[in-house]
Amino acid sequence: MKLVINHIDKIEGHGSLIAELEKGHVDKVRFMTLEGARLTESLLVGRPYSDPAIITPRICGVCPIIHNITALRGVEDAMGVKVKKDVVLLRKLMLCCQMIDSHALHLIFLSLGDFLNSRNDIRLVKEHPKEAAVTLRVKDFAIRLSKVIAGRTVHPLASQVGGFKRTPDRAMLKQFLAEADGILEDALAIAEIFRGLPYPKLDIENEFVALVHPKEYAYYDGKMATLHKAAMPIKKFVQGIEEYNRPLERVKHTRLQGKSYMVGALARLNLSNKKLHPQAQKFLKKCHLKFPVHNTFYNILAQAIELVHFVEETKLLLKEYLATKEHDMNYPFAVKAGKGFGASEAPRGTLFHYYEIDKNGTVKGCNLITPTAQLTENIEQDMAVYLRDSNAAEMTSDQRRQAARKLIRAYDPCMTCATH
Amino acid sequence: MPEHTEEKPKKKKPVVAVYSLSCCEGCQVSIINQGAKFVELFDYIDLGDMMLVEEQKDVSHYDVAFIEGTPLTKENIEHIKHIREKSTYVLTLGNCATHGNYQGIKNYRDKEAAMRSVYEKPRGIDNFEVKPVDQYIKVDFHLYQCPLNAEEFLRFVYALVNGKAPEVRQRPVCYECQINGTDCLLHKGQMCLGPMVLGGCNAPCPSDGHYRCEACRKVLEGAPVLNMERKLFSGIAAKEHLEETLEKFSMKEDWKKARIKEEERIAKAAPKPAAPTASAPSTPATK
Repeated sequence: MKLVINHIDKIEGHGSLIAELEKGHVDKVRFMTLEGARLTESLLVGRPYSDPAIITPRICGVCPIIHNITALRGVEDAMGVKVKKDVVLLRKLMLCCQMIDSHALHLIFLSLGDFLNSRNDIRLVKEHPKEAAVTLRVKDFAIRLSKVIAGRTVHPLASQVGGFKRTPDRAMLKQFLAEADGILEDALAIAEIFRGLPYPKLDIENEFVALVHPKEYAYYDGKMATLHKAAMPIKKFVQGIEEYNRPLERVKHTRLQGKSYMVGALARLNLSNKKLHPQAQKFLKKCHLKFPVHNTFYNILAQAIELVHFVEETKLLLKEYLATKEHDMNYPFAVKAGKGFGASEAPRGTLFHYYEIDKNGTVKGCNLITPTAQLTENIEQDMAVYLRDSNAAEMTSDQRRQAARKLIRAYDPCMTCATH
Repeated sequence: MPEHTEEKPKKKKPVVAVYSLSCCEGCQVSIINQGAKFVELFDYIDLGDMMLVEEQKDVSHYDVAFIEGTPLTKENIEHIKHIREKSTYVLTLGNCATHGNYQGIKNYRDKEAAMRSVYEKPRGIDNFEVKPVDQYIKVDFHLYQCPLNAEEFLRFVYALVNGKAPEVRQRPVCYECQINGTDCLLHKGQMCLGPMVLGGCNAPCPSDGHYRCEACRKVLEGAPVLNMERKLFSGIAAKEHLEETLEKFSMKEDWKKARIKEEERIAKAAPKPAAPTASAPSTPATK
């Protein structure tokens, strides 16, 4: 029997799924993009070093900030530009906003319907007004704050190589700091919804990959680690990623030593759970998870935990930034030839940007490895196991399709990023 | 915005759909980011299709269909033809649909080489020239910009469901910069395309980001681009830099058309070869 979903709704971008099922056996799972190839990497070549930070956010409207910052860091690494502390604080704040906004969107609007058997968000919003109001408040906080810092949420404007075109209004940042405790309560209320959900069983051993840092729940700085391997520098890790495209498919798949792996909230939680902030830590204890957590459906709960953590992180960063001296952030830098890598934790996992810049500041080479491109093969493997073990061959066609969608949405894939 | 004083209409609400082709979906995100204003919209319309919000329904007719993104695959092209057939109004949503965005840079490169540099096995991957939606189907109205101005989107929707044609005032981005009290980048000797570009965005780039206008909406009707080029090439930016910037949002062809029109205008206005050259109108930012 063939399972075909031509168009999976409520994920970012367009994707489809094909699988062949028999009782006790699932074969030929293909999770594919329906997005056209925009050839971003190739089109950046020949353009100025300032372009990646403006063009790559346009790969994805759900996570433009991550592309913006990762592009800046890749170019800075290539040209040897050192970045001041106040700049780092504002960039981290931007990343926190992205994480909060994207997680809140995915948790309440894209995922929750799968557990309430609701397929329409507008109805969901009207039937659960309290939850919807809390979510909109949290999202709105992140959207407004990122606008104050970056000039616009989709797509950022003020962040540039070495600094910012302008400094944010401190009085407004103080207001956000005053709001943060209320938003933390809202985030905890959202997280609480996801603590008791009936996550389906999925018995599989995944490899998890994320940035790690000795001092923090890594998302901006750090080295790359896996569940089974010690941390290594980003450059070395990226060089070990095997990228390949299957005939007729527009997403380039990745493997590590011939095997698929998982990136994203669950990967980060597995690798850095001891470094969560106090409220997130307290909430985690209530969840009674046993690490490492392998069941991919718990990626949803991991996002809920992270939502709390990143609101706490935002509060700390705001305090720290407001304690710095106000400075013109158009910091000077020199254009230099070189090759460099940027890596940050996007809501869906580690995003890598590679750039080669020549002495005139022109991009000579570019490679982008997005979280969903890395996840694609893992989704297919999980899907085969999940459909087999949940006896999908015996389900009604509707149940089968719904089960498959539920697993895909737990991954929170972004097809526009995957294809770029 | 509609009035809230009367009871909500009981009659059948107009069906509005938002469909995306290949793009970042940032236009849809910007609409959803309106939060309560977005939810309120559904007191007045029914959603025919919006994949980021709900499962695709089988709706036979749309009163208003918005298309975001660029048609880059065969399926994309087939789909917009289908949407055209079943919709009363079709509107483009954002620069990818109206012009082609950064993916349009490909039109100025060797597109086969571009494909091969990204994909080891490019067989079967569509690699069409990047063309805006209105080169495939008839489009009734355009919503420009990257990403779109969500307030303008809401204004367009409310106008259409009330049977009015949405309008955009023909004035440059500079007009909005002046209202916002933004320092003029051209005055500081930096490149900015604001004087040549249709406003309606509220100038977020210069005003909120201290970032130049890079022409993501549309070249203004009758924009004196030759005059602008003279100003830019007199020490602000090189010709290559202008071209490279115009490619970013696929605005080069618009600009070229405006230049041809201006040349024709000048030729008409100055039939005698000895005519003075100071006739080109100055632009708001250069006053």
